[in-house]
Amino acid sequence: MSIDSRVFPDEQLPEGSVVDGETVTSPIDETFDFVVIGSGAAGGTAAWTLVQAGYSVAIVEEGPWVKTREFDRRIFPSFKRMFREAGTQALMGNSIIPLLQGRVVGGSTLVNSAIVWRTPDDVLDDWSKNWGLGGAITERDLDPHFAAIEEELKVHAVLDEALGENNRLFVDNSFKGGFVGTRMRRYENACKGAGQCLTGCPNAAKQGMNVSYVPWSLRKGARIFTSVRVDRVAIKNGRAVGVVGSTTATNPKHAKKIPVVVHARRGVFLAASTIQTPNVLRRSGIKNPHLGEHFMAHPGLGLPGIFGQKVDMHFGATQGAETIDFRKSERFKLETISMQPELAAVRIPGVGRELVSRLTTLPHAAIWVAQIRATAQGSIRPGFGGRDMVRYSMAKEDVAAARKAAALIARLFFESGAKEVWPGIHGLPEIIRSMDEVKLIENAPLDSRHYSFIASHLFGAARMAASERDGVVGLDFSTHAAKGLYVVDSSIFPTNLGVNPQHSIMGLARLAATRVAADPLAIAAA
Amino acid sequence: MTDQPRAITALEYKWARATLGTIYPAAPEAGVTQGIADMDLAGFIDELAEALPAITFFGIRLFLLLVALSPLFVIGKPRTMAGLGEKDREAVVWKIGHSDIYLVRQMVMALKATFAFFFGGGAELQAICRSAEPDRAKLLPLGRKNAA
Repeated sequence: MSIDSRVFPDEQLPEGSVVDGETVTSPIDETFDFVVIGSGAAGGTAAWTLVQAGYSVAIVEEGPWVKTREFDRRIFPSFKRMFREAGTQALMGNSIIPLLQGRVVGGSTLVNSAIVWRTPDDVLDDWSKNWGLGGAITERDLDPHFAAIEEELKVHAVLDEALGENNRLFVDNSFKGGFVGTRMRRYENACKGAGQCLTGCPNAAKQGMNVSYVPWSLRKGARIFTSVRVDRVAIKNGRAVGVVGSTTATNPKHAKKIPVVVHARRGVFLAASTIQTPNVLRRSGIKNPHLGEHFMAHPGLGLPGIFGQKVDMHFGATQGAETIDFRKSERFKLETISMQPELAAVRIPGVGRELVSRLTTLPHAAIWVAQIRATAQGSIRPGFGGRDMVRYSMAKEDVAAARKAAALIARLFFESGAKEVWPGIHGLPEIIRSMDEVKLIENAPLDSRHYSFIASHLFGAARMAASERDGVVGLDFSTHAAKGLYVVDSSIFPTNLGVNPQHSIMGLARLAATRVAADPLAIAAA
Repeated sequence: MTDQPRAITALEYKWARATLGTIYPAAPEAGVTQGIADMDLAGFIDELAEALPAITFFGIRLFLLLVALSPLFVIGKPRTMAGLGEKDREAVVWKIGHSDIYLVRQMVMALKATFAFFFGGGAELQAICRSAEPDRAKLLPLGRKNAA
């Protein structure tokens, strides 16, 4: 048995910098300048920015810290430890849309594909002109922050050695679909193409927050409280003064909860994600008619194509190729994704021996996906047992965009030499074998219940607006209702983006933290 | 191997084995000699009960129960799934999974998705789907326009 002698960035952390809620035995009561709720893209970035500005920072994370050395390529052991509700959450509406969210140190950056897109200009213009943000967040404001993050997290296009056949087929054949497919730009350092982005990079090549900004912050004096669930933000005289919560554990049924109070001398940054942030605000006594409303998403629809030759999705960047050529005109973006058999099975036609036999053909499968910039809006409410309930139904035009994208993907598969495409649309043949049959997809019903969507990019529900009448969070990133309570995740986005949101989230979080750290009035008010 | 899950009754487990064994059976012709019912299904059900929110696990349990008791309504045979032959069991699951009623077909979809976490992770299937690392040289015939 070989022993991996590498030292990963999430190891050898300063003593006492990690307080593990799964093992603490007595109540916690500590004080810092700032408390950051969440350690994902937004929380990790905000913490690192505040630490660099010289403040003492506590990060409070609901999930555990699963270290690089512990990553398991098997899906269920990973999902139950690293995903909220073991990956079984769903958006509930006309149809049930599975939803994946990391609940772990690093948040979804540990389990996503680290795809980088700066906030598109047209989105910033829209926010400025139509959503009342004016000059609060401009391209000029964000660019230096994007540039700094890209440099720190080694952003570059997927290299040859990590591309893999699934991605290569997409890039090389995209011209046959009339568009330009490109390699993705990702936060990564020496990706070996392990194809395990969804269960944590075993080489710490993917620069998730768990191996970058969070450990970097700890090495500069921050502390992290893991497996601690924030019940509410404490608000005194209209100002956020800390967080109140308790320890949790992977198995809540057997966990003994220990009270945790972390005081904030200067402010609280809320970065719990689009789904959780509105309910944290509610539990903290924040009231606003827009709170929990205007939730938006990018529902994704994937199609497997089966080739004569092996594609071997398990090798290469999990997601490594894409196009945004249709983002404005058709409201969708195309991407590749590789899936392990545990996840792909649900998209494989049939049941019984037919299904199992098809599962064994996965080495010949490529999977290409459409992310829909959906117009639909949903809502977020508290659910049973402390869960979050998301109501969301896709609009007809969103399904129309998805159908168009599915037909395009199917055509591209056949142009690329695929023998079969599995549309996964109810009422259509489970397998189509020729270009002629693509018209069946083009004429599929515009009913979201006929399709198998999955949601991962989430926006809104505590949107930013100049006045309390129009939104929950002000242009200074602080809630209108309580000062010093800064919301920096994608819940503040007035709209969705049409591109992967991680970079926008990080750019805005860095901008917010930089402004707060540099604002003597805000600090003095504390 | 766990003989009987703690999270559900013996009768439910018998029905679960019949239903799930129909969705994910052995397929020796494809190199998969172990169906889900030959694996540690009981252990996985207990793992699910621990990992999922109670309401989600209740939903899975309910779907298993409804499918197990459905043959009378689906193929007109007054038996449970455990009392049917392989062909009839497959017909029941196929028909439910292809029902025009969304919530009905979602029962099979939910079971297929949840138990894929377990069956898809089986050693045989993993070995088939994760064959030796591909020859990298073969993977790089990129056109110049696509070079990084």
